[in-house]
Amino acid sequence: MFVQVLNGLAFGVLLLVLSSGLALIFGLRGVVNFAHGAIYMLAAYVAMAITDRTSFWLALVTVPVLLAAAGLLVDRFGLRHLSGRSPLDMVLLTFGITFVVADVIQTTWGTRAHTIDPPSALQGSTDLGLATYPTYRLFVIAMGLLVCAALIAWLKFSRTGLFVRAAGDDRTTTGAMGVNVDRVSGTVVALGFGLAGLAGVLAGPYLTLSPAMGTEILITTFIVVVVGGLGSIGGPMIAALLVGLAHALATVQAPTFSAYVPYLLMLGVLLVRPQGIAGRRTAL
Amino acid sequence: MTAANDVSGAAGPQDSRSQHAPRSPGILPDGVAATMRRARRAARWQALGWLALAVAGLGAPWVISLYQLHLAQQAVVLGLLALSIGWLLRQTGQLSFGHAAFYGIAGYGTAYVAQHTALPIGLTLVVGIGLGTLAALVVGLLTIRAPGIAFAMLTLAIGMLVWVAGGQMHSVTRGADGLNVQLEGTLLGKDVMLYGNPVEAWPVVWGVLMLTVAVLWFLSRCTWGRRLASIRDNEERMRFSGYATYWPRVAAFAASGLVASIAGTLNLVTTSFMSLTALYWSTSGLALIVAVIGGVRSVLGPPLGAVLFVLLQNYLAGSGDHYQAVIGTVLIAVVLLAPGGCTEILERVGKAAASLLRRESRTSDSSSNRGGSRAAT
Repeated sequence: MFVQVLNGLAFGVLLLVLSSGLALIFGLRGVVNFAHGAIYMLAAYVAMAITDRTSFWLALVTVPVLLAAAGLLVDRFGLRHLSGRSPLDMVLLTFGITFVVADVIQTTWGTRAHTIDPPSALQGSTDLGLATYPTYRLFVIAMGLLVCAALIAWLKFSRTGLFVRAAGDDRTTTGAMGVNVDRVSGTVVALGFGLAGLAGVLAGPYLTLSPAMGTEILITTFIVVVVGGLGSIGGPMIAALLVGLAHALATVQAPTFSAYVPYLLMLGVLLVRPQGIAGRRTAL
Repeated sequence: MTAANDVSGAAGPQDSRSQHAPRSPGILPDGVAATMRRARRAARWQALGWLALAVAGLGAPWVISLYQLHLAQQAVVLGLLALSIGWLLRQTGQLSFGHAAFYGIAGYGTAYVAQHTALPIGLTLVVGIGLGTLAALVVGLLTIRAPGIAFAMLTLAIGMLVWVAGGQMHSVTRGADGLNVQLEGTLLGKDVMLYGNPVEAWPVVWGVLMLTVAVLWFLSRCTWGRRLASIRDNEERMRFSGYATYWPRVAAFAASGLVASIAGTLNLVTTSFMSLTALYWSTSGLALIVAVIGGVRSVLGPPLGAVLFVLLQNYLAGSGDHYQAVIGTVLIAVVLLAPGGCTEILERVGKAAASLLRRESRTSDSSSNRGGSRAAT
């Protein structure tokens, strides 16, 4: 049971990193980034290439930065041009990116499954008293929680974080107050892509790399964001851990039923409380 | 000279879809009446164009090869699915990622009924299509109130739920192995097995597509379609004005699901095969891309997009199969540069050519007749 809770936490933390990026982009650009799963997948594959040549630690640092740069470009040359149009146009744009990335990955690395070896310092298991648990997964949990704490602190205490929250609440007024909203949005999209990249690198040695991994996690992340509430940052964080735990527990307790659990959770939440745990109806 | 140029630039053709055309133009201001007259004339031309296309399409087996006909048939099935999603997007402004579910349920449902009951083939197909439509109705009842992006995500999740269920109901779907179906009976005067041959199937396949196009075109223009468009533009205002906004949208979603179901059943009849990919979200996603590339503002856009896609896929199949990257890039380009898709591009080209022709005839007139006769007419 203890191990299952930890498994749930490890998966939940991965979802936490992904969904906070998704929620941030949604707050600022009003777009659900359909490319989030593809970016995550791309990060995992690039991390594999870098790990094979040099070391995992280098990948952990460089890949999120590279993808953040890519996010900046997508915002500058894509999303910004569509800001006056229907949000569905932006969805379609990110959807197009998904297809391109999927093709690049299949061409470069093929369709078979790959794995990354965790760095030597994190191999093996750690004795936690109640049970021994793989060290790498403990590292994932620690990293994820650390990054989210940093993200919350940044949003709460920094100047840019203030602008991000303000622009998420009311874009026009924030712009009228002299904040360069386009620049803030660019930062946030870059941050969201960077977080997706980080999740991809972290997932590499923990899950299996395959061309389907992006879609699988994308849909779970959507569920997390909807359950948590669109337009909120804290809601998806709670929902991520919930979904991760529900997923891990159901896999062991009710294996045939486990694949349905996230979807049923989502349907249940939407029927009882359509705005999600902490969402605002007006955000949609 | 400059005055003439200004006039030709300003007097673009009116958008034929923008106004409802009541029967009594007498009480309306002249400008409105003229616009409506023009809209009716445009509608007549569109109907004629549809008739010409429908008749011309029937002749396809005599013009193109068997292989090309096979591709055309694929394009029609994809086009129908794209049409269902595109029409919903245009009419209600809602983006569905879950239509693969209805497409697949109709296909698997038809196969199941054919294998487990002794119903005549016609009734089997109707039951299959009915199952898909029923699923759409239920999904519509649950999700249609969700605004914009939440709706897209909800339909995606429900579609994936159906996919997971399909994978687990191995006895019905045969899982990843795929399901081979032997349909039996006589459909429209032919043994149903004959529809596996594109030449035999083509009149039916083409007829179904053109009929669906016509029905959806009519539905967009009738009062109900106008009301849907108004709800799309401002739901609160419509509700405030005393119109129901829930049921019309549920009905629209069910109608769209019906078209997707027809596509699913048509696919089963012509290929006798179902695989689990039919339920996967990429089926909806591809149809959506095709619809957007073709252009959702016209009912002919999605089928046009499907034809372009099948041609492109066939063309790229020889060169390493990069169709995903190409189609993704095309989608990005279309969204950024021509949100109306290919139909918008065609329209723009048509308008540019028309105004160029007009200008040229005008300059040649003015140089030969000093502009006198032209200005008088």
